[in-house]
Amino acid sequence: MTTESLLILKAVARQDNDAFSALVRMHQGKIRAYLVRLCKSYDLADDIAQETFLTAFRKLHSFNGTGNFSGWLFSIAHNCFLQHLRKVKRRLEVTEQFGTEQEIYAKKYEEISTEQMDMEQALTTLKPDETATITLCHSFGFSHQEVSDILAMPLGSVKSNISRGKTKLKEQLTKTQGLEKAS
Amino acid sequence: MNDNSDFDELDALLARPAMIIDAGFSERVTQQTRNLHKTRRNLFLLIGLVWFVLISIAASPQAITGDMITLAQSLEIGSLYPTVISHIQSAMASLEQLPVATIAAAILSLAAVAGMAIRA
Repeated sequence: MTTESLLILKAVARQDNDAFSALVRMHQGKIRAYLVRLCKSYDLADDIAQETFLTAFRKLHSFNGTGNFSGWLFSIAHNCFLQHLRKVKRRLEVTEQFGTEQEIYAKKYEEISTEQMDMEQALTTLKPDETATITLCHSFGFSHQEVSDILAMPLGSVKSNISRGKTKLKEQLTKTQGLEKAS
Repeated sequence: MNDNSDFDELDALLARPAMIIDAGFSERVTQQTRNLHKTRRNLFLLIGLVWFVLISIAASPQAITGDMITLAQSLEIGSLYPTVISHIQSAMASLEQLPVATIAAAILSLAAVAGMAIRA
């Protein structure tokens, strides 16, 4: 049994706060990186990530201890993001800060190369569904079926969002690289 | 460079997502979950206490009145004594008039609300 499975068992069965805390430390990096891509704002992503973990703590009893804990967390994170969208009732736009001050925000990451920073910037140009499917599938290794379950989206839509998103990403990155070469 | 190799590069880049540094995030969440835990426990204790009081009143109103009078005397709240006693006695009298079914329904409602509060 892995350390993660033990922590999950402790957190679920005994409502152990320390075990849950260890799980937060284990998963926060991924969840926040995912939410930053969706929200296009670090502060908002942090708020939604906090809400995600608190919701997970409250709903621990509903988690099937043997299932995919990471997928369960992503599912909660996505629902929290959608709830926020419904609250603000507007489409999230790339904030000027996020687009222009990437160097400052690079300090928020553990380690990030120029290519990865370009990628993060290019991802801000995609629609939330495209960003979500690509991130879950290509960055965090979930299968198409798992992504479909996490996002409660039909399998066909998952595949088309990934395909459309990747084409847009490729175009965006080519444009960025062209600009870099020209300057 | 053809399209396929472009996509290979893209996939490779996507497969190396940059992670956000913790910077106290986990500690903030842990603090909040601890508070949530404490609130739940206090709520549970409060509901238990209310339940106990309700059961005691329903079981023996006269004994409770007697106990409260003794308590009031021991606390030496002489000036408030007549007012408190009259309030308690009128409350007890009203409770005594309540049928057992009403008290049972109140207790069951309290239990249902408590259950919902704990699950929330």
